[in-house]
Amino acid sequence: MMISPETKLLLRKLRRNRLAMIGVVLVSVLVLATVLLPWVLPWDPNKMDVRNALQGSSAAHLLGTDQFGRDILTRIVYGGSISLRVGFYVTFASLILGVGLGALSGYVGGMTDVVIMRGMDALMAFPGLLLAIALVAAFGGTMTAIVIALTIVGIPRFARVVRASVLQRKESDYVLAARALGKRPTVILVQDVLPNCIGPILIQTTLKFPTAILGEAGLSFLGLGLPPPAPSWGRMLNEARSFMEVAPAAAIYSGAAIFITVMGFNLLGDGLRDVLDPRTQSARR
Amino acid sequence: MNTAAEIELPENDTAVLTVRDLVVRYDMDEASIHAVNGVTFDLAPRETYAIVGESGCGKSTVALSLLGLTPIVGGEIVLDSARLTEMGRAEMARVRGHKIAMIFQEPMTSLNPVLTVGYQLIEAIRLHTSMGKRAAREHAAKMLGRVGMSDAERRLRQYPHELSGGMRQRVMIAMALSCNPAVLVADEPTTALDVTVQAQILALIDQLREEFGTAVVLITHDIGVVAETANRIAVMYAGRIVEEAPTAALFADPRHPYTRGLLASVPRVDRVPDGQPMPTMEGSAPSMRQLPEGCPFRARCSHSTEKCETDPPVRVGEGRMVRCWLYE
Ligand SMILES: Nc1ncnc2c1ncn2[C@@H]1O[C@H](COP(=O)(O)OP(=O)(O)OP(=O)(O)O)[C@@H](O)[C@H]1O
Ligand SMILES: [Mg+2]
Repeated sequence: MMISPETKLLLRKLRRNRLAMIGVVLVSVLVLATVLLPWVLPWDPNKMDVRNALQGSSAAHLLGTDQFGRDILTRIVYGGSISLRVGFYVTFASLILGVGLGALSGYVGGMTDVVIMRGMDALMAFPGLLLAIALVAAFGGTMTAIVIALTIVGIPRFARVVRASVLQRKESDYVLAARALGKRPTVILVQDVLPNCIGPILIQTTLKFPTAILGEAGLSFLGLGLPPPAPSWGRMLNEARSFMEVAPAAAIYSGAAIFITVMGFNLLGDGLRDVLDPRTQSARR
Repeated sequence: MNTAAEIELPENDTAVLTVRDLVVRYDMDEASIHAVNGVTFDLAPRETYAIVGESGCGKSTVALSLLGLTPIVGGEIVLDSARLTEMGRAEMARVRGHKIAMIFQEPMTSLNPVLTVGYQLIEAIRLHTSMGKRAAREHAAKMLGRVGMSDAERRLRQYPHELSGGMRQRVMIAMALSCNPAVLVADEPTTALDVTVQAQILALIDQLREEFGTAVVLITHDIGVVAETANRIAVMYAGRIVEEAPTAALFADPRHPYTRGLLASVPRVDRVPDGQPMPTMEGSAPSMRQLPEGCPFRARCSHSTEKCETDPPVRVGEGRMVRCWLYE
């Protein structure tokens, strides 16, 4: 689809939203760092060098080394790519399945709606972390298992948001007008209903990302993430805990990485919500 | 309730649209809403047939029923000798927007905000024709010209929010007429527009009716609006047509007490009110959930008698119809 003038206006509004722009900067820096720094940094993230363990920052090791003498900056950068990949896969999968189920539920209605929404309720009522632990325990600590676990936990909220906004758009004048033109229900769903739900879907997408990253960090903190020596942030934080008093660097930096990433995406998501909120849009009429 | 056989409107073989005893009910959780309770009329080719009545009397429901978009529980709709009321979903979708099209009250919200005017217009054309993209685009530009929009190429690239209400209504009309339907249903097409634009849109619809040879069902709650363009007027009350007559005859000699009340409440330049308040009708229409026995207007009617507690008879003659005990 082309960039509509409406989208341009939203982008301009987003640019004026300071917090959202901070979010954009944080996210961009993060993405650039995980993509570019591995080419620049001389260290192998998993190569141990016990003689240089638990060092402070130096010219060679900008953020110091961990208990096995591995370069912390390098591990954080590689860990970032794990986090972003998990975040991306989980968000993408929840987006597809959540939009599919939510749209089906809201658009078709009736028994379909009841069955899907009760299913989502059941998933929601189940403690998310417990479900994830059970799944990872069953399938082992692979990327696929982690993504599946976090996706299942992530779908219900997505489906609900989409369903609510489909229900609303379904009653709109342009949908009635489209029916009067003789458009088929599926075409109406794809052309008229879903494109107008893009706002809530976009917000939910940006907010899903940090949740997924936090979820992965949580699992690996509990030892249920990718197995060692994978440089996952949650595991790094956990391992660094034992040396917190002697060498707090590893704990501080991996914690900060999680914090900044989640913060960046949340700021962006909140900014989008402000911009897309119809109550702040009235000036456009 | 009167059946079609009893009513015996002047049988018209050439009618492009025939509606007989249409009954529509919305079933809600607690109650059903009796929105249309036996509406019967014929539409001649190229005619403008107006339906007027107060808010909530079922006008929009009749309009949507003609396109098969309401829960019809009884009666028959025949368009060009095709029985719409017996069609399946898919068949009906082929008729909608093709043989019978509709424009709505709210041009501001009746277009999809995220698609360009051109996309929507081309889509409407391609739904019911075998035109390719390029041919459809040319046809779309031509249609915009015919509804009086200059600079069609630029308009096609614009989004709905870049157009004024009047322009959007023109786009809606272009979409509705793009497949050359036999019948155009216009549900309060000017209510949401400025007074000056209202007249333009009405004139446009009338002009296009001539050019395309389309018959028009024009719905409004303002009887003054249709005085100039309608050939015949039907007055609706509580889900029924209570009087139907050629426009001039209705204004000159309104028969149903409700019609008289309606006409008395129309402000007219030749009857300057001298600062007097405009006459309005007492009371309000009965609830569509629980319609009274007999004539639904009787509670507000100054002529009502005991007879009115039973269904009023239908009197037909001189090309007009009235449903009232006064004309037994
Ligand atoms: N989709 C619907 N579901 C339930 N009830 C409806 C629906 N549409 C209309 N109604 C009810 O049916 C009755 C007739 O409504 P309708 O919209 O046909 O009236 P109208 O004459 O067009 O009124 P207005 O001048 O306000 O447009 C009203 O009581 C209305 O509340
Ligand atoms: Mg209406």
